[in-house]
Amino acid sequence: MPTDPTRTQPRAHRHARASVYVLVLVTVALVVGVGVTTVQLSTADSQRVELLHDLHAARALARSGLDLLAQRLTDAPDWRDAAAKSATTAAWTLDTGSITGRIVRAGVTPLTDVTAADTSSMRIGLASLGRSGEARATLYAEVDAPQTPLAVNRLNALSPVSLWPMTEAVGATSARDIRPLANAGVYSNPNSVGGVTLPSGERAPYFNKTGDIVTIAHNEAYLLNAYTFAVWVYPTALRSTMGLFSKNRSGRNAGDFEITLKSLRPCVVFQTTLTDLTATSPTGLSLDEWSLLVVSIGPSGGLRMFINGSLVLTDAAFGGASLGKVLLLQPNGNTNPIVIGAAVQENAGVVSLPLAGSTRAVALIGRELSDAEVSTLYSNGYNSTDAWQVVPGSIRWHVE
Amino acid sequence: MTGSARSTIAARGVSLVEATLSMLVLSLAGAAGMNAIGQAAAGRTRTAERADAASLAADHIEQAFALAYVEPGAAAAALGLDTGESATRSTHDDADDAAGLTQSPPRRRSGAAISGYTSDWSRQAAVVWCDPNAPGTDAKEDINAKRLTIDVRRSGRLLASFQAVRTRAGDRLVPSTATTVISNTAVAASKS
Repeated sequence: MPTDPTRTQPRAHRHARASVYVLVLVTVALVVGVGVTTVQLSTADSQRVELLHDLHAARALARSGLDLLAQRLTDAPDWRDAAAKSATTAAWTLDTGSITGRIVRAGVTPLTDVTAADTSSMRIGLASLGRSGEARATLYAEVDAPQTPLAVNRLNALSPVSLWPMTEAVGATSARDIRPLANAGVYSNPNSVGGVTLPSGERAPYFNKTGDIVTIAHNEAYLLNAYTFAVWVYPTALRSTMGLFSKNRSGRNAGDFEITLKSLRPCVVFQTTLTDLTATSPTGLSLDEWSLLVVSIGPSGGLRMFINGSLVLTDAAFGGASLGKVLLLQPNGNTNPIVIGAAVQENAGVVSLPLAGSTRAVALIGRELSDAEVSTLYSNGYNSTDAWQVVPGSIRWHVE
Repeated sequence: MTGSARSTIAARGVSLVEATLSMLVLSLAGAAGMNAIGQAAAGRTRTAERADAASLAADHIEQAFALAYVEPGAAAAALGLDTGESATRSTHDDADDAAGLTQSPPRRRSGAAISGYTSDWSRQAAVVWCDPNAPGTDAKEDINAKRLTIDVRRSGRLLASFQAVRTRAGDRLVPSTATTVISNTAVAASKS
């Protein structure tokens, strides 16, 4: 019977053989271990760098968001309008990630969007969140914005003859003139007063039927031969003709001046014994939005009409010498009152063509305005001294 | 020689087959290990390149935010270099001066080459007008926003591409260098 060799191997030989096996296995294990560890370290390093890359990208996006918010704030002459509509959050997308910008209550944590109730505050916060990959970076800044609506501030800076903010509360009967002339208007229908809540928390009248008007008594200071009429208007209906401003005498061609909205296109009518002028803008106002309408008339520039700071219409005939002494509010017998919110038709006292909508910051300026002045009045903002300012030291970063 | 004798000889040590297999296994393991280490080393190089590229791009973006939106003293200007400016960034004073600028190798604002970067590295800047309400959309003219894209490449490989938007109103913001890092999770948590 054959003998099993292993049983006959010396013990030392069996140990040598086993040692070789162990050596090989251990070596393989070590090599695999080192390899796996190296790959893991490399992967971790790569992930770390990817995160670093994304953080840089997110930071650039967050910084961009603050710029975009600043522009948004500037482009809206009265940003509180947007806040009142809860349009306080904006989302933007770039190839490298996304940005979320918010207008928030200053110094409040967690971040809380401003609302109409908050917008009379001077200080607001701008929060920008940039995202890229797994990284997020946030940037927060606080800005001070004038508490008085910018629209009134900027008009007041032009030293108008009269300026009626029309921000009276419900129940008021007098429409203040905040200029030294203090020629207050009279609300004819208390129900129209304060019908609209402005984003600042103040009110504006809402005209929607005949009789919802403001009547402003004639004043000798209005006997101007060069002037600018400015008004913020918020039309709420599209009608063939709506009266906005009029100072009409009794009887045709006796010195009538009126501004109407014809299918939302501003139209200026000027009638005298010498001439009968009509100029209609090719551009209309936006429905359900505040727009700044400026009509500037004088001997040098004729009629120039601006909507939201942009020149939309010129008519040299309005500045012609033939008009002589019968320019607006001329000393030729037109001592009738100004009516806002409707048109006074040919027979004085007959108020018709009511406006459907709101007005505020109505101003009569005793000179022509330059194009640049009107642009600033509407305000691209960045050149305006009364626009928002960053609160020093308020900008804070957080990256994660 | 009898079978019993051969068994006895074999049992004294490792057979040729065992030795061959052992060497084969060790060789394979060694090769795999070296390959892994080599791959890791190459990956580490690429990772380092990407980190460097990100820093180069971020540095350029950061500096762009410290510049004016438009050529100082001018209400508007075409994109790119203005009078008296050159490819050297120290002459740049507004956010679009670097439009179309390609540096290979990347250079400091002073114009000096940044050490450690060879000529196969490049940093390229593109600037376009964009819509401030949709900054990913190009604009035909200046409507108060410019989009910057900074690409960093090595040997033609894109390693980093960052974008940023500068707006005209952004001139009123404090330069980003004046900011303070804080621990504030509230901002990030909101609207997430």
